[in-house]
Parts: sequence; structure tokens; C-alpha cells
Amino acid sequence: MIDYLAQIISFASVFAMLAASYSLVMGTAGAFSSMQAAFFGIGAYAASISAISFQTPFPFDLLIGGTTAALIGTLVSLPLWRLPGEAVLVATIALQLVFSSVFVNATVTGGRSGLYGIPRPQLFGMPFATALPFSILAIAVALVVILLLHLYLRRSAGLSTRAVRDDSSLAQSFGIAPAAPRLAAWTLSAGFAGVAGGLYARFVGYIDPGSFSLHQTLLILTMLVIGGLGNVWGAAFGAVLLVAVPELLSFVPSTSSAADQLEPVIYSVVLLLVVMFRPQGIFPERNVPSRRGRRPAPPATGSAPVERPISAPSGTVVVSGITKSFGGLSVLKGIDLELRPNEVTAILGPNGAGKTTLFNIIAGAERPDAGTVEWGGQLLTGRPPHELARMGLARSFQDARMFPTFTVYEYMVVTAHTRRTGTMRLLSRMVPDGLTAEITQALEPYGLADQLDTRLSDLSYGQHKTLILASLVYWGPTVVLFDELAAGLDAKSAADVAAHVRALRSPERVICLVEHNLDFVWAAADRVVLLGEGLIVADGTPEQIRQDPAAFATYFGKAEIP
Amino acid sequence: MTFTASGVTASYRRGQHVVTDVSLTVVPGEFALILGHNGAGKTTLLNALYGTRRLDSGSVSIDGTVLATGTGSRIQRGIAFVPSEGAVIPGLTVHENLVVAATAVPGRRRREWQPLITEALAWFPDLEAKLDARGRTLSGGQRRMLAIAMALTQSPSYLLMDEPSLGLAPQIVDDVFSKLAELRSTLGMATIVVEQTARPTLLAADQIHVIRGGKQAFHGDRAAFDAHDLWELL
Repeated sequence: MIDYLAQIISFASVFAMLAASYSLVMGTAGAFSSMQAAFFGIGAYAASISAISFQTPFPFDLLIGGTTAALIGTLVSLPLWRLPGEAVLVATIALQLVFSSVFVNATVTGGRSGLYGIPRPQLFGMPFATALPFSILAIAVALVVILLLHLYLRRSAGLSTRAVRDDSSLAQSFGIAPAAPRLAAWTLSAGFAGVAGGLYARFVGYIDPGSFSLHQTLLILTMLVIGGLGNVWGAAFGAVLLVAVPELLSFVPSTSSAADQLEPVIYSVVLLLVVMFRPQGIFPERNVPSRRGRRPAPPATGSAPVERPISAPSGTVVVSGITKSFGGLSVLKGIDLELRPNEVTAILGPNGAGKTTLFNIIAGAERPDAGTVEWGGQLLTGRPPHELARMGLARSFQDARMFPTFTVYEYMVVTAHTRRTGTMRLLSRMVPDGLTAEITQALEPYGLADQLDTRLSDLSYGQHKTLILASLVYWGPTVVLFDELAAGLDAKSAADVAAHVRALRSPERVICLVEHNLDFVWAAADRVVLLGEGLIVADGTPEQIRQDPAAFATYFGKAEIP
Repeated sequence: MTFTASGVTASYRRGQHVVTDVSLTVVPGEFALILGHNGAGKTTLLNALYGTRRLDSGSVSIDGTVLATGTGSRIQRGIAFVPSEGAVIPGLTVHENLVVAATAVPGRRRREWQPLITEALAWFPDLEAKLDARGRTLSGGQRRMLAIAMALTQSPSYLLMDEPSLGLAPQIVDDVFSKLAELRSTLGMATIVVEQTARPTLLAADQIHVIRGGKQAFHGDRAAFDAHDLWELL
């Protein structure tokens, strides 16, 4: 009886590791992978071969299994990350089938009959041959793996990975290079699945391809959906539940031959109940609570907005000779423009004049056909948006784009990460001491300080815009680009936002906005650049523009009226 | 035959401003222009008029009969809508798109709608030549024309158009508007067009309305419109 229980525990531990590692790539990184069982198998075969052929001692065989799976996970993810979600699903199903076929057909994997005689491990001379000691070992390995995943997600990586999942181009504007967290998620997820494979092989003593099929992936997916996508402990719980419950039911005396069919029925019912009543899983993905990092608060300095020191480069943004066409239609026909510090420049123009294209080129979201954007002597064209963000260039998106699963607090934490440099960004502390106090203080003047743990999806449209401004003031970028900031705001909110934009003006900062709301432009801008059919038609103070007949004709198309 | 919107109030999404208390009346043959910048609430207003967005208050009526919620009541009373983008189904051919539009009017038989498609196509020789081309292969201007043709198959008495100029090159915009003017004078429809900027071709409108911050900032005729400083008004 004890042995039987110990066996269930060992199984549950293996699947807890699998589900937790799957949760990282599927839940947190949002990549719809369906080849977790393949990584499981790769780890199992690699570990077993090393244990059988080379007598690799435990736990080094697990490391070999994990490393092999991690390497293949890295390789697999490289071509996958540019694909959209459904394509990832199809591609990984195909890869799963390829690996299943390799397991069946390769000689090194023992073909269809698999590998036999994998010895139970020894550690420090202590044998773990029987079920009970092995189950303790299995729990220990599982706890280490899940704890490592948990700790990884509590570093900056947790928020970066979710940010890239929620909105990759928005994440770039916060200085996050999307490739890094995705690559890390695939590598870690595959690696830990490989470790689980190694442990599984040591546990059952023989492995065959049937354990690593698409069917197995679906089982792990079920565990994940029940436990909670994006929550490693929830995923582990789902695994334990789905391993344990059917086993416990085998104690119920059955009178009908249908008892064998009970297991799939239970899976289906549990899955249906969870999907209906708790679609996020029993333990859904958790937001970072604002309690964290509250400890040593720096001395309060009143409720003035906290401005972070501005770092180089600074100076004028010089746009020269920009041309751009889309499929034969020439949108920008040679734009030369200087965006100077200490003034708010508004780019104005009728529909189709090329405003948005020019804006995207300055922000690094699009490449010009010819011409350059320079800033303080540094060339900006050709640099990816996340690099521009780290240099201190901030941009807002139309329609107040947001990370839907984030809270106000998390949004501000990601803002604080923007200026971080170095190669180990993902592993740096998510919430350094005093950050929470700083964030609270930064939000105070905007009336958002009591909303720290509110999800962005629960904020009103006006609050979104306020948060964008508050985060920009807190970040203190040297170049700020606003895309249609006032769209959809009523007159009063637009005036408030204009005042906030004016307050951002500084001798070290370049501010540029693309706008349709003229009231807002008159209230916020020092200078107006008017585009018409891909060229600059007028450039001057708002008063000059309003008296310029050419500007009037361009904007209102009333050329024939004096 | 009077289309009346009175006190129309509608919201776009939670917390975002609404279209507040907008009223207008058009009769057949009349051309009403609604101007407003991006995000002013024009599209929300038009969607509310056409019934794709629920009214928070106010009413839309024809000859004093208040129209029920939803687009069904509009289509039945001869109101057709031309969205600015996405009006054409990309995977269907020109002819199939027209059939989709023509059969949207309930209770029509095949022999009733088939001649209507032929009539609508007669206005657009370019499309007639491309009957079997899929929507996605059309140019932007052709798509806009097809969208108008689709509305015509519903033999509308009232035509609502959302930003016909959006994403089109200026010469093509002029083509679209002169076609619209021709249709209006021949078929005698009432037309309500929403636009961002006041093009000369558009200012021929019988009535001009300006929406700003969701409110009706101006309504009147061309002469009254010209008396305003547009930099302030729009």
C-alpha cells in the first residue's frame, strides 16, 4: 500500500515538473507549443542513454537530459518566434510528430521497443531502489525545478515575458527586446521537461516512444488548463490532481466492465467544469502585488512628481531627406525637419498626408526608403525600437494601447526597467528596494496612487491616458513622441492632458506629437509642422500657421476660397 | 420621407466620452456633411444612426416612426450604410459581394434582387469588367466603389457613408465624390457623409454639421460655415 502510494507520488512529481515547465512557454510566454512531450522524451532518452551506456551517476544524467532538451528547445524556438499563434501550434504539432517518429525509428532510442534496464539511482552511496525512497527523491527534484521556475518568473523576466506576450511592439517601446524572454522561455521550458524525462526514465526503468507522443502533450495541456496557465504552482497542482484522482478511484470497487473507461470520463468532466466555472484555471496567473519591495522607503520629498535624472544623448533630433513609398504610392517625398528641445512640436496634416508614416520612422517602427534620423550625433535609423527606448526615446501608441493583463503597478515597474542596460536584464531584480514607494509617489499627483493593484483593463479610457503620461514623467525620457494622444477625449480632459504635456517640456527634452484634435494642438504646441501630400507645407508657431493661406488650403482643402 | 435623428447620445467604450445630444434631419435629395477630427465621435454617431451601436438616449425616426434597435429596421426602411473600411468581403468576388448586400434586405426574391445588381453595376463600368475578381484583388478606389454599389443594391432612400476618403489618393477621392453627387441627383437619395476635412467637393453640401468632443459644435449651411474660423471650429 505504501509502495503504491509512493509510486503515485513519483508519477505526480514527474508530471508536476512537466506541467510547470509547460506553463512557462504556453502561459507566461503565450506560445501555443504542442511539443512538450517531445522535450520530455528527448530528456528521457538522452538521460537514459547516458545512464546505460556511460554509467552517468545521478543527478548528472538529469542534467544531460535537461541540457539536450534545452538545446533543442532553443533551436526549435528560433524559426518559430516570428510565426503567429496558430502557425506555432501547427508547426509544433508537426515537430512533435517528427520527434515521435525519430523515437520509433532511430536505433539509438531502441526503436519501438524502447530502452530497458535503466537502473534506479544512487546518491552519496544511498540507493533509491525501492518505491518509498524514490518518491522522496522525486518530490525533491520536482520542488527544485518548480522553485527555479518560480524564482525565474519573480525576476524581471516575469514581467518582460508577459509584456511581450500581451503586446510585443508596446513591449519594445519599454526597451524590451522580444527575442530574449521568448528564447529564455523556450529554453527553460524544454530543459525542465527534459529533466522530468530523466527522472521518469529512472523511475519506470524502461522507456518507449508511446510515453512521449502527442497524446501525452494533450494530457499535460489538460493539467495545465485545470491548474492554471501562467502559474507554475497551479500547473503543478493540476498535474497532481489528474494523476492522483483516477488512481484513488481504483479503490472504488467496480461492478461493471465500463470501469476502465472511467479515467477519460473523469478528465473530461473535470476539464469541462474548470473551463465553465473557472476558465483561467484553479490557480490563475497572478499579478505582482504592490506590497512587494515596499520596505525601505526613501525619505519623502513632498508630492511633486518624481523625475528621474535624464541621461545622454540629448539635443536636437534631426530628420533629413526622408522618403518612403508603399507599393508605388509615394507617401513621404523628402522630409527635412529638426525637432528641438524645450519646445512641443505638433505634426499636423489631412488624412493621407504621411503624418503617421513620418512618426513611425522617427520612432523606429518603420524604415525609410532613404534619409536618416539623427539625435545628438547618433544615427537612429535602423535601430530597433527597444534599443531606442533604452536610449531614452519614448513613444505612445494610438488608442492608449496597454498590456491587458497588467496592473497599474506592474506597468510602472516595467517603466522603471526601461533604462536598465546590460546583458542580464531578465535576471535582474524585478522590484528593487524602494521602487514601490517611488512608484506610489510618482502616481500621487495623477490620482492613481490608490489604484496600484487595479488591472489596466479595468481602468477607464481617460485613466489610461493619465497613466501613460504619469509613467512618462516618471521615466524621464529625452525624446517623447505622442501618437494621437487627445483622440477620443472630451474638451476638458484634452485640456488637462495638454497641461500635462506642457509640464513635460524641458531644455533637455524633445517633444513631438501627431494630432487631429486642433484644440489640443493650440493648447499644447509651441510649433506646428504641417504636412501635405508627403511634403512639409508650413512650419511655424500656431499663430503663424493659422494665418498661412497655404496651410489653410492644405488642411481644409478649400484652395479656391480666399 | 424625412429622416430625423433627435438628441442622439451614444458611447463608444466605458469611460470614453459619448456622442451627446446630436440632432439632424434630412429629406430625399439632400446632402448632409458631418465634419470632425479623428476621435471626435463621428463614426460612433454614424454607427448609432445605422443601429450597429445602441443609443443611450434619443431616437432615430423616419416620418415620425421611431426605428427599433438594430440594423434590421434601417434596412427595411431603405437606409443603407457604407463603412469606410472593411466594407468588401475580401474572399468573395465582386458579384458575390453584391449578392450578399442585395440579399440582406429581408423578403426579397431572386428575380427582385438580380436586376438591382445589374442596375447598380451600370453605375460602375470598372466593376462590371471585374465581376469575378475577388475583393482582395481590387484597388482601394475600386473597393470603395464596390462598397457604394453594394449599398445601391438595397435601393436605398437614405445613404450613410463613413469617411469615403480614408486611405485613398486625392484624385480617387474626387472620383468617389463626383460619383456620389451624380447618384444623388439622379436617384434622389438623401446622403449623410462623415468626413475629417472639408474638401471643396464636399462643401456643396446642403447642411454642414461639426462634431467636436462628441458634441454638435456647429450646424448650418455653407454661408454660415464660411463665416467661422475653421482652425477654431474643427
